[in-house]
Amino acid sequence: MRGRVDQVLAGFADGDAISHEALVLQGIFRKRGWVSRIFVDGRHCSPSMRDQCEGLEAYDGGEGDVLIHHYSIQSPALDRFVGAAARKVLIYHNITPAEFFRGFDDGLAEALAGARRRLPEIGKACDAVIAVSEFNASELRGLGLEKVSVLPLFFSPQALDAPSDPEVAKRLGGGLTTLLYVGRLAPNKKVEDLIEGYGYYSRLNPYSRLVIVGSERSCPRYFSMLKMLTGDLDLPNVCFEGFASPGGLPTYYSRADVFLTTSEHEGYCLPLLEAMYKKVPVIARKVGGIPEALDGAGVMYEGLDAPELGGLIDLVVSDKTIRGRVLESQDRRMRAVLNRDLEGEVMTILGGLAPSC
Amino acid sequence: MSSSKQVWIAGGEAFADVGGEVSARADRVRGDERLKPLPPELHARYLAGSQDEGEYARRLFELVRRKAHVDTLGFEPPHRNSWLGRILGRLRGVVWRGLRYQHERMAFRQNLVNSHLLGVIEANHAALVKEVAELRAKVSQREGDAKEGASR
Repeated sequence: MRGRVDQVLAGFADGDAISHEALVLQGIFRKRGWVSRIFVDGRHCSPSMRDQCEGLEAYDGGEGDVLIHHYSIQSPALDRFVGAAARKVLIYHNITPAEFFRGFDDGLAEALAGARRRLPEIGKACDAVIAVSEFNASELRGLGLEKVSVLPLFFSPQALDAPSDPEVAKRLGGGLTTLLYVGRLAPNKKVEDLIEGYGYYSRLNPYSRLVIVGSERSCPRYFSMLKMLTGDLDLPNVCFEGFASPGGLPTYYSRADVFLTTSEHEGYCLPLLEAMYKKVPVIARKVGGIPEALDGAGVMYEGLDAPELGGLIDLVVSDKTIRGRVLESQDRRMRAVLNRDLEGEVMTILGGLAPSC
Repeated sequence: MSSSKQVWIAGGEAFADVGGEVSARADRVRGDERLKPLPPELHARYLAGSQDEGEYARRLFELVRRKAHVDTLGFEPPHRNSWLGRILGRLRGVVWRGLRYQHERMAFRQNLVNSHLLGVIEANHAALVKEVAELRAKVSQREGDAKEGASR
């Protein structure tokens, strides 16, 4: 009988960093000859991913097996994980502080608060705890979990090498300077700061646009606020593009002059790596796991107000020397990221828990 | 710029090098009338201070009431910073002024539609609030009756 390493997830979707990581891990485990299945709460599985996972109720692992849970929110998957007889591995992707969501989505705020409350107890009951950044690991250590390993979030460039989407390419024509944000439209991302910063930049360069790529269904009340803000500031060149198609995402990156994030809470921030891979200069607020994701590349800032952010954007867009330095640093960072030995890193951490065969 | 402001470029602290340049660019646009911060109770960010979804809904109503109108004032056709850009910008300005009568008529019609829609939403909301309050009162009354019956 072959060994078995399964994973349980709260959700499973295209373009989602946690889902992508679960698939990469599954590939590594299967390559080693182990059985590896992914179990997901069916209500949160996107239709395009259904053939790659099973419902939580189908999980039937036993004591000799290993079960991994990707933890970022309270969910039925967490309960399935806690109740399982298998040896347990927790991968901590960070829990957004609930305060960000109060008023925008009270249900989600409760689920986040609950997840954070249970974190120490669940972490202590696991055989191994992994954080996807040193920032996340320090949070766990602060909660009294001592043996925490760090396995930075996986990055695979394949999706970014997809052929360009002609519709998106056509829409982004016209010779305007394009600022890009890719990510969830959620309150912790502080997209309102980005819009205000762009407002000032647009006065320096009226031939520009801010393209915001991310599902508007993540937090509809927050999305309403962002739309209202663009109206208040009279910014018709802020384009909310919604969720990107597989061909759309690389097209957005290839048409961008700068990638920006003003997020106030990040466990790691994978889109920064995507932007660097597509050779787009990155500007990010220095917060959470972002310094680790950039690791000496791109541009970071803190304490700038909206007009100063507009000024910084203008500088990075127009100063060729700075732009060159930034791109060179990002190339260096990408070489390190692409040369990672993922299988080696995973086995170093999980080797001791290898399933019995 | 105060000392709490920082910029890092390619991993190195760069505030001393670029801080002045960033500040100079910011100062060129800082006083822009169109971006002047609105009073807090009129700002979209007012929504972010809501403590729960009920408060969000109340604040949203307040804001929408004040923002449900459109006007065509204060529009400045953009232009590139070159002699050709300035000429084309002026040309756009002339065309814009020529069309203004039509724009204002459209804005007037749109504002009528907006105020009708807002009226409908407010009336519906008020009816729902009333209905929920009545249902709550009925539920509490029945719960009270049930407890009384059980204690007899």
